[in-house]
Amino acid sequence: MRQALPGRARPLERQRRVVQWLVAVGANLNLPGFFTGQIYQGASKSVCVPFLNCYSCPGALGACPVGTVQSFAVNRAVPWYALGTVLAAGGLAGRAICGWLCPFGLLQELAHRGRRVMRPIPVLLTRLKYVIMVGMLPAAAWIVGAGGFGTTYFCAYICPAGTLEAGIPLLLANASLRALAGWVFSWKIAILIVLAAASVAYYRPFCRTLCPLGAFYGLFNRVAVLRLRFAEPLCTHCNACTAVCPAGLDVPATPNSPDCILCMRCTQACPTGALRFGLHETAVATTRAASAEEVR
Amino acid sequence: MGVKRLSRSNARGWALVGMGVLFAIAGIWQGELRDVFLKAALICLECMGLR
Repeated sequence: MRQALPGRARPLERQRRVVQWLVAVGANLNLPGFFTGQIYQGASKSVCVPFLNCYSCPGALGACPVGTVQSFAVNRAVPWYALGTVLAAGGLAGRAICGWLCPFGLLQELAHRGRRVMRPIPVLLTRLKYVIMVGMLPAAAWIVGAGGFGTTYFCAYICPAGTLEAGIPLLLANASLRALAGWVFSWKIAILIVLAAASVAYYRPFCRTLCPLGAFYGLFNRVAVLRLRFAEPLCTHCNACTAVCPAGLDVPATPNSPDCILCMRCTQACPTGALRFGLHETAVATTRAASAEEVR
Repeated sequence: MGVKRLSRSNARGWALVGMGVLFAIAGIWQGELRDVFLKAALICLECMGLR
């Protein structure tokens, strides 16, 4: 069992929560859509957002990159624009996109709110997201149905964001869509219920086990321009960082782990400032590294 | 020396950002914004679980 978040960690946590809310609301500002059962059709729908946000959510103003790359794969085309968007976002900030911008991540955090026990998720389950990431595009392109075309399999059979943000509000507001609901919808509702229940006990279970975009961004955590900077000489091995990590990571051993969503709790908990998020190494780290190089 | 080290430590990240921007520009150049719009502006039945 891990300890509670220290009091001084809370200001940054609040800032992150404010950013998450601003992005979640800002990306889904077409509020009339929730009442009319129609989705937004303005020009901004051609813009890919860098986080998971279903484009069929009545409020969505932009396009989801996961749905976009799959729909291009169905047509066996390379989605240069959507890939470029997520590549640039990943190169810039890695999984900070998940931790700070993703609306579905915010919802999972709200479900988990107040829980202090950090439960680890079995490693095998955390690897599932890589299988989905790697398999998603070939599946869309090559596993074809009766019409000779594939489909956006992740969206169709797994994505709980689509069910929650698009399926439920549109079915509630649109009777003609309700008539189309069958076993696939029931299956997706079941996934959503399981993940909602899991979110109460586990921190961000979807992000850690199933999200292909999170898996992709995780690959960039170690090289992103903005990343965790660990000044080992300052570390006293007090493990305060590990104790507050909601993902249950051993922070000093694996700073910038692919499973780190850069919530920054560790940077706030560190009593010596050995951990921080940013563009540059801490001064002591660079000075000592430079001295060591000079001695050599 | 410190400055050189800093730029080197971020070089791979900036290279990825640059590559991403180039990909995005290439996509826009090929007219992909229109394709993205056509997909995103219509209700996606698959996304909702209606197929």
